[in-house]
Amino acid sequence: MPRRSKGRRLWRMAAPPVATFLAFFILWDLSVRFLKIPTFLLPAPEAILWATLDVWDNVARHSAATIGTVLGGFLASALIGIPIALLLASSDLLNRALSPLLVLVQSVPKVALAPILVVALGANEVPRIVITFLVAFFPVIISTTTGLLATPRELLEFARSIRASRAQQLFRVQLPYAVPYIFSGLKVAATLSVIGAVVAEFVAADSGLGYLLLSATAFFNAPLAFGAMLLLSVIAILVFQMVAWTQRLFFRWSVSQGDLS
Amino acid sequence: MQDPLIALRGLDHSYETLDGSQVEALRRIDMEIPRNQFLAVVGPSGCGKSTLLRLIAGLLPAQHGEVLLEGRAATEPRTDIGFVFQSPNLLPWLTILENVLFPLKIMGRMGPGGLAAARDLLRLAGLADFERRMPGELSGGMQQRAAICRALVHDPAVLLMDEPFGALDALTREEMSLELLRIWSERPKTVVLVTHSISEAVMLSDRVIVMGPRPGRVLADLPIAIPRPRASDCQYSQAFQRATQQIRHHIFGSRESFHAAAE
Repeated sequence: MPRRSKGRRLWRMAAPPVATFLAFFILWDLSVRFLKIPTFLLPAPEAILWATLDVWDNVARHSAATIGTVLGGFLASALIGIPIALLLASSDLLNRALSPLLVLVQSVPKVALAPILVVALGANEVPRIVITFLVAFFPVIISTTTGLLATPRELLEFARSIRASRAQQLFRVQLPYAVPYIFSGLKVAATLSVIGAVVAEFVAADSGLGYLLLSATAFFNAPLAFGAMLLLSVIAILVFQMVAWTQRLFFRWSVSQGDLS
Repeated sequence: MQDPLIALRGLDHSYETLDGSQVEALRRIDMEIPRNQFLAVVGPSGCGKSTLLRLIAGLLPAQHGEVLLEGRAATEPRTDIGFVFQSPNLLPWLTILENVLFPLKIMGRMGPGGLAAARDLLRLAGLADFERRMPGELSGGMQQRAAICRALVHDPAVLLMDEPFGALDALTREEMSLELLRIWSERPKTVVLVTHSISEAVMLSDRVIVMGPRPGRVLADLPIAIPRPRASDCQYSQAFQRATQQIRHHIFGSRESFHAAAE
C-alpha cells in the first residue's frame, strides 16, 4: 500500500501549515466581529473575499498585468545578473572596475528613481520592468559571484590538471558549483520582484494590483485594497515556489535538507 | 639503463607566506624515475612532498632547476598525467560515470572507446553497479576509488597521488591500498605516491624516497625488495619489517640521536 502511505505523508506535511492559516483567519475574523473594528481600518476576511469577487474580471486583469511585470523583471534580473557575475568572477580587474558601480546602482533608492525612469522611458511597460529589475538583480549578482569564487582550490587544480581552458573551468566547473548559490539569490530576487513591481505601479501605471490597491484606498474601499494586497502575497509565494520547483526538478543534487521551500 | 620517464634536476622551490617571509619548500632535488616504477614519497608534514608532486604535474612552474618528462621540460599540465587528490574532488552534479568521463570530455577525446574505458575501470574498481549514482550517495572510500578511475581514464603514462587515502579511516585505507595494488598490477604505470604512512609506502612501492622538512630535501632513497605479487600478509615478512624500520630510522633517527646527545 505504498500509494496510501505516500498520501498520508503528504497530509502530515501539509497539515501544520494549513492549520496555522486556518487559525490565523479565524482569529482575524473573530477579533473584527467582537472588537467591532471599523471596516476601513481592518475589514473581515469575508468582506475582503466578497469585495474582491465582486469585481473579479477587473481583479484578474490587474493581476495579469502585475504578474507580467514581476516575471519580466525577475527574468531580466536572472538573465542579466548571472552573466555579470560570470564577468566579475572571471577577472579580478573587471571585479574591481565594476563592483563600485554595482554598489552605487544598488544604493540609489528605487522609489526615488521610479518617476525619473518614467520620464526617461515613457509611460509603458518598459520602465516598470526596469524598476523591478533594479530592485531584484543585486542578490542574484552577489550570490552568483560568491558561488563562483567559492569553488574549492583543489577542484580548480583538478580542472587545470586535465588541461581545462579558462572558459572550461568557468563554465564546466565553477558555474555548476555555484548553482545552489544562484538559486538562493534567485529566491530572494523572486520576492523582491513583487516589491519592485508594486513600487513601479504606484508611480506609473493604469493597471496592476499596485494601481488597484492605490485607487481602492483613494475610494475608501479597504476590503478591495486588502484583497489586492493578499493577491500580491500569493503572487510572491508562487514566484518563489516556481524557483524552488525549478531547482528541485532540474538541479536535484543541489537541494540540501535545510533549504527553504 | 633506459631513459627515465621523469627526471628532476636541481629543483629548488620557495614561496612567500602571507607575512612576506620566504619559506624554502624544496632544496636541490635530483631524482630519476624509470618507466612503470611505483615510487612512494614519505615524510612529515611540511617536507615539500605535495609541492614536489605539483611540480611534476606542471601545476606549479619550476622556479629553479627543471622537471623533465620523457626528456621534455614540464612547464604546464600534460594529458599524459593523471592526478589523484587527497579529497575525492568529484563533481557533485555529475554521476559517477560522468565524473570518470569528464577528463575525456574536457580533452576532446570522447570517442567510442572512451565509454568502454571508463566502464572497464569502474568494473576494475568494483563500482560497476554505482555508475549512475551521484557522488554524494557513495562512501568516502568509494568516492576515492571513482577519483582513481577518473585519473586513469585517459590512460596516462604517469599517475600522481597526493595522500589519496589520507582522509579515510584506517580499515578503509588498508583495503584501498590493496585495491590500488591490484589495479596497478593489471595496468602498470609510473606512479608517484605521496603519503605519510610508512607501511602504505612499503606495501605498495618498488622504491621509497624519504624526505625531511625545512628545507624539504631527500634524506634517503631506498629500494623495496619485497617480491610481487604482494598481499596484505607480506606485512609480516622480514623484508617488510626491515624496510619500515629503515624508513623510521631516517625520519626519526636524527631526532633520537639528538635526545641521546642531550642525556
